[in-house]
This record gives sequence, structure tokens and C-alpha cells, in this order.
Amino acid sequence: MEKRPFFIAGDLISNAAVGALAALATHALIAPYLGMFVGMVLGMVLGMIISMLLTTLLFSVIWGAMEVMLPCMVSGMVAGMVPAMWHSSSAVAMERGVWIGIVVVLVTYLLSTAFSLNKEGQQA
Amino acid sequence: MNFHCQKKWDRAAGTFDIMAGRGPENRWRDAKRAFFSAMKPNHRILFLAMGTGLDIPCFPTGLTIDSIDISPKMLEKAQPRIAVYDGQIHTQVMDVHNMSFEDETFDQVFTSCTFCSVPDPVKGLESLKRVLKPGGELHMFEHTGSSLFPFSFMLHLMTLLTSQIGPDMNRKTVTNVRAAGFEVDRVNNLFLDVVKTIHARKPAG
Repeated sequence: MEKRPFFIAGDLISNAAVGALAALATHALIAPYLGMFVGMVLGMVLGMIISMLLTTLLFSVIWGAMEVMLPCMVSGMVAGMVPAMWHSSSAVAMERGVWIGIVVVLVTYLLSTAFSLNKEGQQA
Repeated sequence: MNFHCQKKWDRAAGTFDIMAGRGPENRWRDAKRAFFSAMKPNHRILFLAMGTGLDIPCFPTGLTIDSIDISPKMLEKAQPRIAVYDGQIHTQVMDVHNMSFEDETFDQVFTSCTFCSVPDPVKGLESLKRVLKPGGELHMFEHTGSSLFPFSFMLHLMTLLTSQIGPDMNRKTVTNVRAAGFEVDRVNNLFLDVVKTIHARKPAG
């Protein structure tokens, strides 16, 4: 698991930012009349596009490649779906996006620790 | 020589250090130093592929290393880093699928984020096996695909884009190493099951 403060801060900042922006963009661009299912799918796609742009052009240049890109894509994908599930204000949508980003970082760290303990078990 | 691949990496050479030279290298520096510490003096070492030489600061000093890369523009960019290395690095433009080295030349082969980009990974690994001495060591620092959803899905998706301008993100490199006839000694996962070191050897018999 990552122990260096610079990279832990980077992971949290990048995922929180991607989560907030993905949720805000979905809230602003995807109309509620589309319905929950279509809204979730479009929000997911929008969140992934936002995460790919932000990580490729900014966050991965500063904080790392796969370690930044993969969790950020999950954060963007999930946070993009949220406004379609729970209609709320843009501020609340962003706050949920931030929390999603933080949770994704924590889950990724736990999974990464589990994989690092499994020296021979994977076959990727 | 795969000229399509060569052209792709020649094009990437101009911006390669901007994308890969700071964040990824800083994040992996400690792990790479530990990885390259397996380079042994008095061994014939092949490093594939040199790229712009970002890995050179992580090499132990005082070694003599042969290195190849398919891209002349990458090797051109690597020259300042090669010049300051406290040891000797000999570079050649060469395609791993068709290396001109004699059979059983090297004691150790090292790769670093290379087999995400080799067009035919099993054939490339078979070429490395050919130039290794019996019992010779293969050490790889690679990113691969994942066995875990949603990361596996995302890596497949990213590959649709990245393979046009650079690496694939969904390679099954450990499987490929075995398919090429190497004996895998150990695999260490550094990030999820995506970034890893693979340590293998050519069968002695």
C-alpha cells in the first residue's frame, strides 16, 4: 500500500476532483426527464470521459500512471451515475462525488494490499 | 523490422518524457531501484527497450549493459542520460522479434514497461529466450491487464485508444512468459494485479 504522503495526497485530490466534476457535469448536462437508467448510463460515460481527460492531461503527469488512472476512472464512472439516482442540488452532487472518490481510493489501497500479499496467485 | 511500430514510437519520442518522465517515474523510482539491483556485475546484460533512458538513474553503477530499442528517435533522446551513467551502455536500433545477437549470449535480460508495446509478445519473449544462456534470468517490470472488474473492463477500453499511439493496457504478460517457455520464479504485484515484477529463467536443460 502507498505510504508516501505526496502520492497519498495526490490519489485523494485526483479522485475527489474527478468525482466532484463527474457528478457536477452529469447534474448540469443530463436532464432528469431521461429517466434513471438512461441518466445513469450517460452519466457513467460522461464520468469516464472526464476522468480520462483529467488524468491523462494533468493528474498522471504529476502523481503516476496506472495508480492514478484506474481509480480515477472508477471514481468518474460511479460519481457520474449518482445524480441520475438521487436528484439534488449541484453542491450535494459534488459532495457525493468527493466522497465517492475518497472511498474508491481506500478500496483500491485495500485491494492492492491484498494482491501484493498474493505473490504467485495472479495470472494476468 | 516492424516499421509501423518503429514509426509509432518515433512519433511518441518527442512527448514521451512529458507523459512518463515525472509522475510515473517518481512513483516507481524506489520499486525500480530495487528491481534493477538484481543486475549483476560480470554478467552479460541485455536491457530492452531503452526508450529515452528514464530507467538509467535506477541502474546500479559500474555495469556494462547492452540495450536495444526499435526507435532511433527514442535512442537519440536517451543519449544525454547514457552519457552520464557511471558504467557502459551500448545501444542499437533493433526489433526484439529479429535480434541479431548470437544464441545464448546473455546471462540476464531486463525489461521495463516494454511488453505492453511489443507487437507479438510471445514471439518477442521467445527471441529473448534464444539470446539467453541456459539458466539465464529474465526480469520484467511491467504493467498488464487485470483479472478484477471493473479494472479489467477499463484497461480493455483504454487499449482501444492507447494502442493507436503507444502501449496496450490489457496484456497477459505472465501467461505470455510461460507460453514462451520460461520458468516463472516469482511475480510481485506492486499495484493491484496491474503493475508487477516478473522473475523467470530459461530452463537449464
